[in-house]
Amino acid sequence: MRFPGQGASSTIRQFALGIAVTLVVMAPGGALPRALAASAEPLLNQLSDRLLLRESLSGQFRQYKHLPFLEQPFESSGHFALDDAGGLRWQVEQPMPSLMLVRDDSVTLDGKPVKDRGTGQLITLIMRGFMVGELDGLLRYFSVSGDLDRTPWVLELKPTGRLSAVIRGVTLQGDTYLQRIEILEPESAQTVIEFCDVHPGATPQDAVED
Amino acid sequence: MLSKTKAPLLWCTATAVLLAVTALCWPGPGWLQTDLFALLPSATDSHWQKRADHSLTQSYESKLLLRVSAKSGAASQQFLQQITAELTGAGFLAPQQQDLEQERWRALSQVLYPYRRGLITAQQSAALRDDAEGFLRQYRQYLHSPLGASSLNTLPGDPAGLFREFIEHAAPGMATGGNDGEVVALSLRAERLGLQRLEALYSMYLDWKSRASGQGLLFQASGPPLYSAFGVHSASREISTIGIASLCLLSLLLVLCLRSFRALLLTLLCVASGLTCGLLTTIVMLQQVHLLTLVFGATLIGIAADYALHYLAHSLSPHWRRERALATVYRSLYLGAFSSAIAFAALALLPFPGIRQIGVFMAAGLLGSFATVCLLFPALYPGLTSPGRLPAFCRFTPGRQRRWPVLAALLLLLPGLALLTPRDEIRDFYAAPPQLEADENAITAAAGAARDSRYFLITAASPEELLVTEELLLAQAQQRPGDARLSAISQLIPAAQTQRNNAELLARLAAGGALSAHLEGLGIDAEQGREMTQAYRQTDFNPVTLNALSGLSLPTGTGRFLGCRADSCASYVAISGAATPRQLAQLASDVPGADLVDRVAEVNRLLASYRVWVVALLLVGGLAAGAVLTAAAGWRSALRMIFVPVTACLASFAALGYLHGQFSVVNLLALLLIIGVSLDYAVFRSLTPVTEQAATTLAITLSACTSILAFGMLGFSSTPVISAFGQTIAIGLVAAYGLSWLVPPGGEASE
Repeated sequence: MRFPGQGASSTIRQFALGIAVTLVVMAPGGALPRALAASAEPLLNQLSDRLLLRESLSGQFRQYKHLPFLEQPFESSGHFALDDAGGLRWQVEQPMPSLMLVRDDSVTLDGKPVKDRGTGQLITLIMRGFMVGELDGLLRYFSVSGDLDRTPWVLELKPTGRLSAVIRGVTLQGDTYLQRIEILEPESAQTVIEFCDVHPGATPQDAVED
Repeated sequence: MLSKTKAPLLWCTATAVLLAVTALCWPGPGWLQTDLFALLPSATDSHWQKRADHSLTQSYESKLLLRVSAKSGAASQQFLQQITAELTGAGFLAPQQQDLEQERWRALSQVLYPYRRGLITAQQSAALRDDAEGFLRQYRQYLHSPLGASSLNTLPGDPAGLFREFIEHAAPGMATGGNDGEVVALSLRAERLGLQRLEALYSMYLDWKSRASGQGLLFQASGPPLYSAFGVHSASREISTIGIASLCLLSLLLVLCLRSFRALLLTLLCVASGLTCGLLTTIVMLQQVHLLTLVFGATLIGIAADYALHYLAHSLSPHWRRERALATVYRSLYLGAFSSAIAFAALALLPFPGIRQIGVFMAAGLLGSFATVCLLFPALYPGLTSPGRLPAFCRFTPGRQRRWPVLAALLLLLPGLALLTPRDEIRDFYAAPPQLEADENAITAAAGAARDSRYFLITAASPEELLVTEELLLAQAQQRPGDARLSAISQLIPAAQTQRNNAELLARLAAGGALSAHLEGLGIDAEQGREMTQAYRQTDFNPVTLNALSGLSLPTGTGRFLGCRADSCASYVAISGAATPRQLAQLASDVPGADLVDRVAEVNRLLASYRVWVVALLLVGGLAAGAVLTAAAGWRSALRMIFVPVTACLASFAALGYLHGQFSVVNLLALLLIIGVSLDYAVFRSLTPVTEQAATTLAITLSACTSILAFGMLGFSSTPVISAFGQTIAIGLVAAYGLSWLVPPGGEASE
């Protein structure tokens, strides 16, 4: 079996670009111009009104990653918790247990500090935004459009600036809670995170300080 | 003496020649310097160190760190975006600047990718040797977390994430904003950091501070461009303040004492011609002039006016005749101007580029003013229309005062002189506004982004030895206590042997099935896994060499290979973090071929050696001036004249001892100027007949007032090096003026 473009210069370029972008992608400066941000604010305010806002939140997640070189999606599942200080606990149970904790600028994986290339902060930003209704933060990285009249509502995020080199777009769906995040990446890769059994409050074992 | 028509013609011809020569020799853009280090001599003769200094300076001097902290991260981000946009709009920042950096990393990754089997960090290598299964299991966990999503795309070419980690490890730590802030590190466009624009940068900084405060944000900024911008901002303000204040005082004094508008215009002409002559001569001879030289040059106004004042003051004397006006003062003007010019020209002998500029500027300026007085004044100044009258204080006869109180006062100088200790610290010279210093400390504390001008210079006989030495240094730094973060070229191109060892390690893991098992653990079927690990199973491997980097523009902050000459190769390893000098020195001493270069310490050592040189120059200059004066006026008069500058210098240093307790080469250089000016006073006094002493008293008084005020104002400069210079001279000139009353008049001396 031969992987698409393996050994070819296109793969090298793609690989190099991925590394280069993640080295600088989350630095400030690539976010949305203010004029665009202003036009998206009514939509986000409207969406914010539809959300059940909570101090803390927990639930189950299932993550699929479709990769062009794999026939089966790359899959993991577990449960998550967001606490009132904005910390995220992401407990993977299947296929192999691991625990990611995101707090302020620090991210740990199974107790060891790890380099966050921005993904941890981005997911935390999105999830916390939908939990407390502070969706303005999305405008730092995306232009926003959507259809809020249907159920579940759909929000389309188009990355602006350097993030567009690694993400083609993000689609969010939900009702009173965020239910689904779909991230489209270059070269047909796609990540889907689905949330279920979402409920307010975090159990004591979900505390991010653990 | 030349006739009234020939003399102005000669002045005009000389001016035209100077302008023509300047036009022919004009150096073009870049003739005006602002970098403080440009004032200093090169601290090293080492070819490699000069190249490393140049390379580091280029990357370091344009760095700007901005930090905003607020309760809301969005507000911080938005504010930083506004600032970035404003910097781009003002031309300081290239559009999409971070994309350029991204492009550098992309190009570098592309070049290194084919050699990835040998490119593993020392930590990865150790972890794989100790517990390969544990290492790979941890990577699988990482891939299953949201953090690993982007790494999954690179799985076919980099199944264990080793190459990605290798590249990220080579990237110097991206500054973070701490827990409550956002930080952005920018590289400003070097070509836009010119004089005119730098002042605008400082104004922008002040505006950001004010706006952030209004929005409830805390804004901090740091970086060499801001310090330069502050230097330009304060220097240009001081040039205008000192220049205008000097001119205003001069005008006021002249109008009050000489009561002639023409006298005022001629004095201004004398000053202007001195400044122009000084500036053009410096540019023609040295092809450049520093901003601080111009600041210093503003004080030429006070000295250049001396000659005009000496000429004009005598017009108030009842014995004054226009035909003999120049003859009356010529000898004292001539000796005063040339002795001062020689004193300043002596500065050009010192190996300080900045001091050399000042010496040439002042010597040429004084001679220009002297020539203007001698060639233009007799033709253009007819004297007062009504008989003038000298102020009452001018009737006091000099040289009649009791001398024992002076001797007693001299005894008071001794404790002050005993209190003095030398201090040679270049950082004392630099203007560091408290606001910027506080910002820098805060950013360093929050973001861990301490700037460091120190580096390790690595030299070896071959590129391979060079890389081996770097790797040894990195390994030693890793094991030692202290937070020395190093960026070396071997983090991008490891030694060939290291690469081969890495490739062998991966080949063993691939052959043993560890990599295939790892991929199966990720749900990838066996056949696909074999395909992915095929490249790693190969035993032949050609390491990448430093040549692969030629033609690449390397990302900011990475180490640099400086090249090879006939017998040696060199590179530098950049340092960040908070390692102490002792820790770094120990590290360098333990690794043969690695030398710690501390540019600031080297410059300080130079300052100390030049302090000794200046003392020697003062002694030689004093002896030379004494010899000239002895030949011109006899040894007794020469001793009386020399007494004034020597005692004025001692008085100035004694005052420094009482006030600060420390002195540096700058204070010593100020003594040269005190000698030049106070010698004028003594010469004017000593060579003027008793009958003309009243006019001389007026001339010396007017000169002293303007000079002391001009230099006294320099003493309030926010640039410490200028302030120290101004204070020393102002104190010395006060003493010189007082001492000039002790010098007996010429007629009396000869009697």
